[in-house]
Amino acid sequence: MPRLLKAAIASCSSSFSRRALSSTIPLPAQPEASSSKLPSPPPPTESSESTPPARWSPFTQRTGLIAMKRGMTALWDEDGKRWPVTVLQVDRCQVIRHESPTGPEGKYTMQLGASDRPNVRRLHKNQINHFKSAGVHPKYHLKSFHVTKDALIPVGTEISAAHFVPGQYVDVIAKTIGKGFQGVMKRFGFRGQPATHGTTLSHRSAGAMGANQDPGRIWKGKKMPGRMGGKQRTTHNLLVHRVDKELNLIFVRGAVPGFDDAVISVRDAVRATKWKAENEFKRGKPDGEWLAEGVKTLPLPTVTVQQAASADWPAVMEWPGPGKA
Amino acid sequence: MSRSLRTLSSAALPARCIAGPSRLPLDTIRKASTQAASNPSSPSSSPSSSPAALASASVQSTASYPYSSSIVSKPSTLETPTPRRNLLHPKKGWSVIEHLNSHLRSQYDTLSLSTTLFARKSPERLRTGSIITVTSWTNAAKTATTSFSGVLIGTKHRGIDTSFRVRNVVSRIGVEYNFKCCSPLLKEVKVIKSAKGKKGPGRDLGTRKAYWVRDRPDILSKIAAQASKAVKSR
Repeated sequence: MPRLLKAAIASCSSSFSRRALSSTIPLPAQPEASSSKLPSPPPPTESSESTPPARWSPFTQRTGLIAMKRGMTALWDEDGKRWPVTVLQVDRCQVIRHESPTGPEGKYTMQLGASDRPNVRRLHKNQINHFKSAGVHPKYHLKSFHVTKDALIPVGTEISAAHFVPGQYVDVIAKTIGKGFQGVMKRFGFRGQPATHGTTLSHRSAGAMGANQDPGRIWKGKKMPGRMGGKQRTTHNLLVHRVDKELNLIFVRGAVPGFDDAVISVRDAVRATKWKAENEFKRGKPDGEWLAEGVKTLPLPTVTVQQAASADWPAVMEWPGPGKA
Repeated sequence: MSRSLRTLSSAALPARCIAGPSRLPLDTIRKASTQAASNPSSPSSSPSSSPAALASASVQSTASYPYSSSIVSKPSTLETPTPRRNLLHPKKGWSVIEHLNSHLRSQYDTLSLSTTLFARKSPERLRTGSIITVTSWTNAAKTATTSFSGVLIGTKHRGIDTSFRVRNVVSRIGVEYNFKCCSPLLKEVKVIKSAKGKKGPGRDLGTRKAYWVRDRPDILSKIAAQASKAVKSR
């Protein structure tokens, strides 16, 4: 191992320790001028404070977030009703890249990255440069979201869990738990054959596969045993029950696909938020009444971690229930 | 290859993009949130259940939070510190749930049931066979109550979802009720007779889960008689 690299690693070892949450973050060793062959990345532009922030409309498409599913727990609301909730944590979700729309009516594509990689030595150079041009630490997970122009966020900005408002609906997209190669009873809910009365070796089988000479083949898409799970699925219209801006947690009501610590993509619900707001807008409702459950508007373009920390909001915000506006 | 990344100068990057896992230390978050959040609500108060307290909490939060008119402020989870300190990006995410559950139990479990009567190893924990009366509120305003008496046939320890099962025979019909220890609608758990000994109606049923009692109506009839007698005498 080169001597300089060893020294650099030794000086940075405490910054990569998994348990440390020290207040001083040690900086990496400063380079010699000759060793850096690539240009330094442009500093991320902060959002300008002079222009007033744009107001969310039903025809605005905000960005989503990358979160980790931490597990499930239960919360009781003001009526004493118990709600099972899934805890999603936003782990250093930063904007990596913007892409322009492909057509005249198209939307911008914004790439977000989440969860810093502690060990970057095994990354390909092109991967390192991809993050370097954004000025962010290399991430584990990357996802793209389509956004309208007013919802663009400067590259390098870290997004907070307060991007979502308690009381709004979200869609959650994740890979389901893989179940391996499974039979038709587990995979498709077939009823199988009787356990007794002479059934021979076919208690859990699919039974007949098709008709007779016509068509003389098996239709495409016939349900058969195969690999189950491990597919991306969307769970729609989950209510955001609570938002914790200190630990960057989003509590959504109900279950979410995937195992604990899985990567989740969270976005504003297409049906319960976007289409509903569009309908209310077309009915002539004023701004502030497009969304339900006491939600007046959604933060546009987002709430950054710095904004959430400095804002005069409660650390933990919860939606109390319907009719409690 | 790795050196090129580590040569990123810190001056070109904002504080959060410094090479190395970036993070805001929990101390900074705690300080920022206590400074910024000007809520005068006491940090250790349990979630306000009375309408007046709820209204005051909503009004305080509504004034500062512009995106919703119906928000209730809850105490910060960092006020219940847990041994695991890496809560922002833990290696195993379940540590976040453990931290949350310990905080939520301190908030919700006002009767401290999950730490005394229904704990795993507390000396005062209830054994199966104990006869108890559970009083619970029937509405959110907490004006009316209802009682259920019976024999404890099992306690399920699930952290915040810790629950216990009570069985009784009411009008010749066996009825089981599953109560959550941390439910805000739970008013009181009164122990009529703590299970003890190996004989008699108040005996210790011997197992942590006594579901076999469902097939033994003779045991239950004696327990039900004793429970109703004790309830009437109070």
